[in-house]
Amino acid sequence: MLDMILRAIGSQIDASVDKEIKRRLKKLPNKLNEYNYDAWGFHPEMAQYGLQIGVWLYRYYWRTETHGIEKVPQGRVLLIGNHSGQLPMDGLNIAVAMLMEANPPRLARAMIERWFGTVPLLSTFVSRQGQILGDPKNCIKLLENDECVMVFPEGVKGSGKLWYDRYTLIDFSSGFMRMALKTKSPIVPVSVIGGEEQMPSFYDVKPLAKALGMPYFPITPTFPWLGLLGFVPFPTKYHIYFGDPLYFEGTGNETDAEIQKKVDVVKAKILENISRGLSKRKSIFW
Amino acid sequence: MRNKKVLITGISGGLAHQVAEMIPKNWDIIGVGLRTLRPIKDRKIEFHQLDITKNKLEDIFRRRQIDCVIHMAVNDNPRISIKQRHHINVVGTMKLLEDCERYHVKKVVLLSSANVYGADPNNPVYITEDYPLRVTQHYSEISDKVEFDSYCRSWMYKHPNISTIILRPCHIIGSHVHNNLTSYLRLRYIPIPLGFDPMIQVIHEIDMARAITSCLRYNKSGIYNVVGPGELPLTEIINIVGGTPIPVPHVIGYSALKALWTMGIGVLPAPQVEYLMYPCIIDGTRFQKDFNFRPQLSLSETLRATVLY
Repeated sequence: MLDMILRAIGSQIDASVDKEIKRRLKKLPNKLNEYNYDAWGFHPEMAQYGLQIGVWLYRYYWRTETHGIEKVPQGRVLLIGNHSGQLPMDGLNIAVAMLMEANPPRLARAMIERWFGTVPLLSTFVSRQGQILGDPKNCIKLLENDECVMVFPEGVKGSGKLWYDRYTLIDFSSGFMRMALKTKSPIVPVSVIGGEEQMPSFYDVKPLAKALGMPYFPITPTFPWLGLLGFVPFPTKYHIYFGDPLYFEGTGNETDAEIQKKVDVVKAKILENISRGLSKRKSIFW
Repeated sequence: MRNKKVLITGISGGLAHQVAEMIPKNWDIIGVGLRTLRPIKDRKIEFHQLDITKNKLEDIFRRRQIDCVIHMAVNDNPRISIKQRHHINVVGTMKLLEDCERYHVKKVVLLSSANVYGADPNNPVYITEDYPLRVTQHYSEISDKVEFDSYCRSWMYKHPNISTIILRPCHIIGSHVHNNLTSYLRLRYIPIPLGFDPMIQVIHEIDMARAITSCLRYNKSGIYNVVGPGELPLTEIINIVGGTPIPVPHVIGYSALKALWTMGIGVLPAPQVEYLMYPCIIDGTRFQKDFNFRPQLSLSETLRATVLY
């Protein structure tokens, strides 16, 4: 369906896609088949339309500034970030940064919720953008293919954080560390600033969330008061700090306690860069 | 030295016919099948028209010293009843494997299918051979195929001295094979589930026949996924074969298909729609490594050859 829509209107909007996006998509190191697809369904010809919107938001809505993106090593790498802001705009901003600011460009692939695969249109859309189902087998395969995978170990609980807990980290799931050790992949801690203020949530109405099948039901200054409009995040200014790559030794079969020690190192690095970024920030909006 | 003998069951089928064409000349071919056999170029085949579930099959084993069995008399026609399919696929296979044991066959090649994994939104990309077979969670009508696969597997472990190769290929397509996907792709207007466009793996019948014959060369035992040149979204496949996709909301399509199927005019049984919504992408690297196999046709060659009869 999505393919048909884009085939019908694609030729008209094709010219409106930023040439830089097209050029960078061509330079991606990803291996594609003769029709330009990979096994997960990533397809640059279709991803460019979603990216056009993503790049616009990145440049003009959030005016994102990245710091230290050159530290991300070539080849297989795991980007581990703090999750915030009710809507996963942090993932979008990191992915756009990796495509538009990293040299050579990289496709940062997020491990998304299983729920996405069951939703019509959305399931096709996210897979053409290169996003993948959050299954450890997918992650390991991609790392073995020397790709760049982005994980938010706080999960949906992290993005649903309340205002009082902003810029703190809740429990990290440790699966990413085992995958990094198994595939001998470096970890780059990524600290995102600006996400916490885009949709400050003061309360999570859990029974409502459960009834609606949502991960959380936030009460924000605008939601649910303005209805769907309340879903529009504030145009806060985003800063993304990439830390130095961390290399861990191990097999991935260590006990939970040993893994947790390594996870805490990553967590501490992310927090360190968050506080550095917060102290440098002059204002939430510019 | 006498020529080795290979018994091919279900030899009248489109794919088995091509396997017979490819078997090296130093093998004598004995074929059994329900339908008459189209002649094979430059090849003399001892053909027996019989049902493998009948006792007559055993006499072939008694009279001829069979070295290898390629079992392709597996029926996946969804039109016939589950009872009948169970009889052919499970009971027939049990009898055949008993004969293989009794008459000291050295190698058995069994054709299962990657469909036994089932299409599911939770499937990782690249399902390996140790993945659970969960197709019956959504699609109980093909439980005979899962039982066939499991029976073959336990037989393989019980007979470590016999080289048993169980193949689980992705969708086989081509102008001679008739299965759910090929009859679906041969429609002029092709209904697709609205908003879903899973990646699908295909292998051309010639490549698949090549994969099956390569089993004769290596003395291995195991379960192997077999994949072709790659994976493509469903709509892209439909465009390449020249059909027109018609998106239909799942709820409507599913019940319509169910009703049509009951009346005997649908193309697919309704639960088969899962394969058009969710991925079932398998990892074929083990077979490629152990049997030194590379599909020779590209994606476009594979797909273009499908609709032409």
